Amino acid sequence: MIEFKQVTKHYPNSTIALDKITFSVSPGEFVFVVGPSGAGKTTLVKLLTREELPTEGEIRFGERDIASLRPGEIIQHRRDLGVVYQDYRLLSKKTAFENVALALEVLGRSDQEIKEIVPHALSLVGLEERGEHFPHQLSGGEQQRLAIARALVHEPKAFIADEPTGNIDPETAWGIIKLLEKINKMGTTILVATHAAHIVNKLNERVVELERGRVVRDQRGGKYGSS
Amino acid sequence: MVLLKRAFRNAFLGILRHRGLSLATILVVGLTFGTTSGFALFAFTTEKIINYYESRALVTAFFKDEATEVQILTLRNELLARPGVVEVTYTSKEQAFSIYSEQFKDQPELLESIPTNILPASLDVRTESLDDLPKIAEFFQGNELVEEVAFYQDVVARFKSLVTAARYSLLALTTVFALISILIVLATVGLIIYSMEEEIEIMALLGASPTYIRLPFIIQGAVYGVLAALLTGGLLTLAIPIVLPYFRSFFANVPLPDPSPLFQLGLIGVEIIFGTILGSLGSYLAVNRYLKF
Repeated sequence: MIEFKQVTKHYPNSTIALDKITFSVSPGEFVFVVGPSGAGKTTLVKLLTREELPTEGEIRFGERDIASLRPGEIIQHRRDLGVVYQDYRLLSKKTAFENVALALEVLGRSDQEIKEIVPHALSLVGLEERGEHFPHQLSGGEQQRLAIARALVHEPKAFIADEPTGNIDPETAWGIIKLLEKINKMGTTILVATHAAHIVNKLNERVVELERGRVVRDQRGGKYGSS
Repeated sequence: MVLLKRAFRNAFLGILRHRGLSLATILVVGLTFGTTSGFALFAFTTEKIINYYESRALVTAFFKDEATEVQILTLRNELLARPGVVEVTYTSKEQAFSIYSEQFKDQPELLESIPTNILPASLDVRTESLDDLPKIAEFFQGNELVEEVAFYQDVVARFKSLVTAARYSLLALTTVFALISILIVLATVGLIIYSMEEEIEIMALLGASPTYIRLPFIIQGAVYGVLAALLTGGLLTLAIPIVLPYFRSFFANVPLPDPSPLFQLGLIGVEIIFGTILGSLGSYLAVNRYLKF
């Protein structure tokens, strides 16, 4: 489903974010991409969402070559993904309900459908009572959960998260991961970039480890650091 | 339809939730429109004043004693039928003497020394344009009934070059004002969109189509334009009755009537059209700057 072939990403200041990485993710797989800060996890997510283009190599999502997508195809590609960004990227002037609804609105779903689906998505992440709140009225953890609800609400083909448990207490983080596990069991491909060792080690899923932009380990049932 | 409904809802929510910025935008755009409209009105009034003075320039033909009133009035009718002629005033010998008497009533010695029929009958001709006056002078000069033609060609030529310079200056200034106004409006609306750059980027990352992203901002820009135009229209309606008497006192002879309600509505209408076009265009251009795929 997702395939990185010899992908290199250089930034203009000659930083090498990714260096000839190759790995693939099968449909329905759950993969952790781990590594310390600066290892290249966020760049990898940005390449998948087509925010950045690779300097070299090929990235495929299903049949798509992400780097050569035309604008109309980029829109469709992004609709197929559910992404949780490290900085959440919530719309500050929209309520929690509206933020989640936006992912459905862009797909052209009806108001009636949105009214039914969004409260369910909010309750999945424990924010059913916070629908009318604006992001600045939510705690860091709540904002993160709201970003997760927005990423999941349209049932994407693949769920990609960049540090989805970074600002959440261990108990809530664990709840989120269990939720992702449940979604994965329903067939959604999950790719989580994290350095939260305790989560990775508990789940016993495939681990792709990055270090200075290179894949140094790709292991099924892998662990990461000390738990 | 759903897209349009959502675009309107998002546009109005955007305006309400960015209250401060929205108000500032409306005020800046309104002020810009107001200044430009005020100047355009000033130019319009000045043009009326110039037109008035232009129409005051005249050619006077003094007739020989043997010219009869019937002959002169026939000539008058002939002139009135000519294109560009606005007014032809006949002054008989008697009327001329009575005007003379009135002017010199304090100097009876001047009146006593001349016979009552010494002053000639005359025709004063006014034309729409200064350019028509020499033709009228030529017309009289070829007529055997005419004794003398009074036409101060140099003065008229100088006045004409002054009028032309004034008109070009007004046109140039109005154009410059309008261009500055357009740039200010585009920049102001662009600034509010700039503050929403992140919002645009996030929507694009969620897979929103360019139309879905642009439409609310375009509507928002149009609403700012309309509200600013209404504000300007309201202010001008209030300002005209205050400013007009000053013009009237400066140019006492020039008829400057109160603007009709239709004129004022037209002015507001033009402002609204310009406001809508500029507001939405400003938003469109600004959103495009941040819409990257």
